[in-house]
Amino acid sequence: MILLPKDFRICRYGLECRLVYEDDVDFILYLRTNKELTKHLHQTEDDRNLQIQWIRDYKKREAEGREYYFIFYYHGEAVGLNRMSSRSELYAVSGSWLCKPEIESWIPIAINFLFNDIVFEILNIQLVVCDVRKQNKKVNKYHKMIGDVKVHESDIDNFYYRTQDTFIPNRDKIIRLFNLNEK
Amino acid sequence: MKNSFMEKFIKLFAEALEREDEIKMEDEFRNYDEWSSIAYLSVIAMMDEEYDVQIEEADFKKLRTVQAVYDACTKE
Repeated sequence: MILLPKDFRICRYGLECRLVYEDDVDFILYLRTNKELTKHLHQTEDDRNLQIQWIRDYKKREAEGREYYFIFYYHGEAVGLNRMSSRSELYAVSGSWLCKPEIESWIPIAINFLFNDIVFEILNIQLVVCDVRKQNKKVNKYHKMIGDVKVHESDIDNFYYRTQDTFIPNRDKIIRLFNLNEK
Repeated sequence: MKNSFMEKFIKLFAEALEREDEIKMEDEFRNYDEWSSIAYLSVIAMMDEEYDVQIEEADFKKLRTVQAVYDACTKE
């Protein structure tokens, strides 16, 4: 597994991205405890100390290259999160894609694109798996728009596979529509 | 009175937004509960694919109503 440096940082699509630190606890809690944003996600307790402990535990997994939790900035303001857990050198699960409300409409898409760019280009992951609540129509639609292939469904979730071959042509089309390379 | 072009547009617009409630041409679509970044992406993709209209973000921001999006899609 490719290890990212602790001070990993990348800028693209007008965004800046780095790994989360303990100091990000308030932003993470703010998003993770927003009922509207997280109605289709696993619930997080509104407990600062528990969240700090979670980040400390996560940092151990990060140091082993097993999990990466990214925070994204636009014009110096934290705007979103996205996380991946590796299951092998070539296969990872993505989740916790959360964005601050009231931001410009293109930013959540750009966050997810930058996340996938890191996963495919830097971490050299070949297959990303996502599970999405069936009720979450918007996000299911998004997965189809970026070319994800639905491979399985349970009573409550759809499961998607994403590879570079399915993702990049759709990403590039959306980059053009949103003019993301000009941000 | 709606013509067939307008009816098709409203159907496509509703699909892009995943909206089941009625859509009126005078509606300010950003006030819909369904409006989101993914809805925005769906709408500009719909404009591109169905009407061959590529719209800049700054120009899209000026569109307030469903009618304005329709006009942008159907102008010669």
